[in-house]
Amino acid sequence: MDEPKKRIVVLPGWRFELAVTLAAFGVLGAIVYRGTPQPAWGAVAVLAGLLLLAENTSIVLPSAANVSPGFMIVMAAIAGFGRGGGVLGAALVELVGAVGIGLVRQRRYTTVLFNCADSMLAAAAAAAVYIALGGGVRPQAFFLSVATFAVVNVGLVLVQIVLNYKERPAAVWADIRPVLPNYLVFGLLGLVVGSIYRSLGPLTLPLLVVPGAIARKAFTTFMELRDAQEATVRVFIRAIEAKDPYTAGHAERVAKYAQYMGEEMGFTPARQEHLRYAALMHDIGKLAVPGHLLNKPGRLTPEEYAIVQRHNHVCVDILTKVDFMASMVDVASDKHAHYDGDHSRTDDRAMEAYIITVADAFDAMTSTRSYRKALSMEVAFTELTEKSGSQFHPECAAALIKAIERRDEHYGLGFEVDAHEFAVAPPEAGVGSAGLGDFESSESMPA
Amino acid sequence: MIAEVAGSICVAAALLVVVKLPWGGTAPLGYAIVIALTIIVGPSTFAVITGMALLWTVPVLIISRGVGDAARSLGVWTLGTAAALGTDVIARHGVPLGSKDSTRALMILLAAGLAFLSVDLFLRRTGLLGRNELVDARAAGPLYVSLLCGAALLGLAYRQGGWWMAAAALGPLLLTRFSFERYAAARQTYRQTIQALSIVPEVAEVSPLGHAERTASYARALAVELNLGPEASERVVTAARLHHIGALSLDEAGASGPEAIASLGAALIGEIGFLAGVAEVVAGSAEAGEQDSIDAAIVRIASRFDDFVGDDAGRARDALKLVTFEAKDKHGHQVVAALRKLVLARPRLAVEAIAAASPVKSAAGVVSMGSAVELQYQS
Repeated sequence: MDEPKKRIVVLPGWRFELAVTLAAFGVLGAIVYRGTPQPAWGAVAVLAGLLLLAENTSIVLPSAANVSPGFMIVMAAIAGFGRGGGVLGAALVELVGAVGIGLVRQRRYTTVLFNCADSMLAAAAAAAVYIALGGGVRPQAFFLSVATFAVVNVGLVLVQIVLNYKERPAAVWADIRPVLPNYLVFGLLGLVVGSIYRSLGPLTLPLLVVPGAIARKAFTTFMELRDAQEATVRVFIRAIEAKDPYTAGHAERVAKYAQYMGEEMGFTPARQEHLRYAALMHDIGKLAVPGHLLNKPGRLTPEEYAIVQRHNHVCVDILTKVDFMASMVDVASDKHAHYDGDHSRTDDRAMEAYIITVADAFDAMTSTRSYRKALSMEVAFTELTEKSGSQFHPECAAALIKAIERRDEHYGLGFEVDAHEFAVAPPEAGVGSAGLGDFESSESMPA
Repeated sequence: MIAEVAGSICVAAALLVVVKLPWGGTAPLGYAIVIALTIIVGPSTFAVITGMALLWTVPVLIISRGVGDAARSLGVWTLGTAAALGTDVIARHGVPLGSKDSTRALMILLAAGLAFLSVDLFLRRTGLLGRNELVDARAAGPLYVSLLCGAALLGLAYRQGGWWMAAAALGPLLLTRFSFERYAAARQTYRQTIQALSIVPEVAEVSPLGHAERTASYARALAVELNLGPEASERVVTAARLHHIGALSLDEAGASGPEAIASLGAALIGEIGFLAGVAEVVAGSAEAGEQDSIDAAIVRIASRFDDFVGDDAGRARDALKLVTFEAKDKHGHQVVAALRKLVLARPRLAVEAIAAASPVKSAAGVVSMGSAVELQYQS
């Protein structure tokens, strides 16, 4: 497959990107032309190299848009050079160091130019402010210098994003606002390091680079662990589904609905993540149920039913030892279904259990099961609303309905994704395909 | 004097903020503040401030950790601080530290910091802080290096611009704490997930209840005894927890026997890229093969040892004889020798392993009673 070669990729805002680039080079030309103190060139090269490295190896954390720690390096250059070439030095460090290798590979050359130009302008302005306010270790010079960099940089980037992606300025601002404190933390730190550099020299760099590299390694391993957690959970979901093919995709859907509700109820990202794992693993007990019982055609005898329940209970009790699974106890045990049965639970994790109960029941209702076709979404919503306050936690039920309606999504009869043909005749009892959360299961349980 | 009291309160507060180490154990963030203090003030003021700070921590420590742990922590901190102070005095050898002399200040700080952290590591090694805090230099290294660098930035920043610059230089220390915290939390969640999964074959009654947890307990002790690093120990312990997981797929595969369990388990675990190393250990855990590793031998022997000991710690010595008799390969002999040392030196080895598995057993016990009642009710 031959892709068209050597094409430059431009987004709608390319004119703005080029205009900023021209302006930046104009400013740089003016600085050089008017004669300014020259920085130590070796140090400029080292700092630019470090910045290039930092900009192209920074980790994007899952929960936050990021201000690259590279920002520290340019602020260190400003304080380090100070009157001795701070403006020119900082501008050149950014001009070289801000090149995004990923963007070059994508042939988005105008954006690469813009990024360099934008940070060069911000750095030159920040350095000018720092020097104008007397430099050294004066707090006002530190704070206003950081603020100048942030204002110039955020202002230009905001316009660029609005033009390139046709987004509303308010929406872009809402994305940027949470990272503003990072400017302060990294910026001040950079200026501190620059000041120390003036008296200590190159020995300063390892003091910053070594812990930075260690923290980076810790983050990388942290991300690897998250992936591993994901993969581990997936392997076991596959194992559950291999044992009980009637519920293929069930865990994923329950997790999705649970996330909808968590979002609606304003859970933190960390809590959302735990909720997701708990939802994905809520049927883990099935792994321990002997396969011949799980897929037994026809009703279970009371003895068989007791065996199934026993296995399930043991799993559940054991899962209480896992922090993020502890809330699931009520979901997977007998008490699970009814919100009104247990108002006494006051621990703050109880909400997770209620959420998964609702998600589990909603998926059971809107999927085609062995003993009935999927119900329509309207019927399922009515059921959720009617049993709100008795079987279901009212807040959870309302949150799910609201979240699905807001997304304008459709589930249930006519929209189900998993209308499988099964080789084995479907079971009737309330285990196996019926799932522990099926609101109809109580009718099919042995008396 | 007000400045000294305020400083000591800051130091005390920082000593009570802990950073979690990824392989277990904790270290106070305040170590960095104490180390930084060596170049912020002279030796006599250092002694006054840290002395007061240690005093302030006493009531909080006693309330939060109990008298015994409080005394142990205070002991380690006092000796570490004393070592830092001694090194500080020697390194200055009577020459006052000029305000412009940053290089010398950095060297003094590094020397004092290394003394402090070495004392801490040495005392941990003796087990003074308890088994949870038994952390060696390999495991604590990255955090301690970060703390040392953070302390240096803090101390130098203070010398340059006073309190407010020192506050701005706290960034790296807070970043260190944040990243290690996230890392340790993710590791714990993952460990718990593995633990939950390891119990599934036991609940399915294809493996004795508590076997995975007890085997893991023996494997951990053996890994420490054989001086495996933290990463290798973790791999061995995870493999010990999961070595029977393949038993779940025996039916579907139509296979039987320990070797089938090991290879089915390895195939299942191998699907998780992160656990490729663990899968290899599990694959070799049934039988000593040509490419046998010490890791696989540890899991194999820990598992066999538990097969013989089970729930009765009194059987440990007989079990040792049986596994000794079975071990025929090089790695096997090595591991059995380590196990013998352990069993003789730590009579409570098996008792502790059985205790580690007791939550699993009691959960199962409570539930069987429950379902017996249920059955009665149903019939």
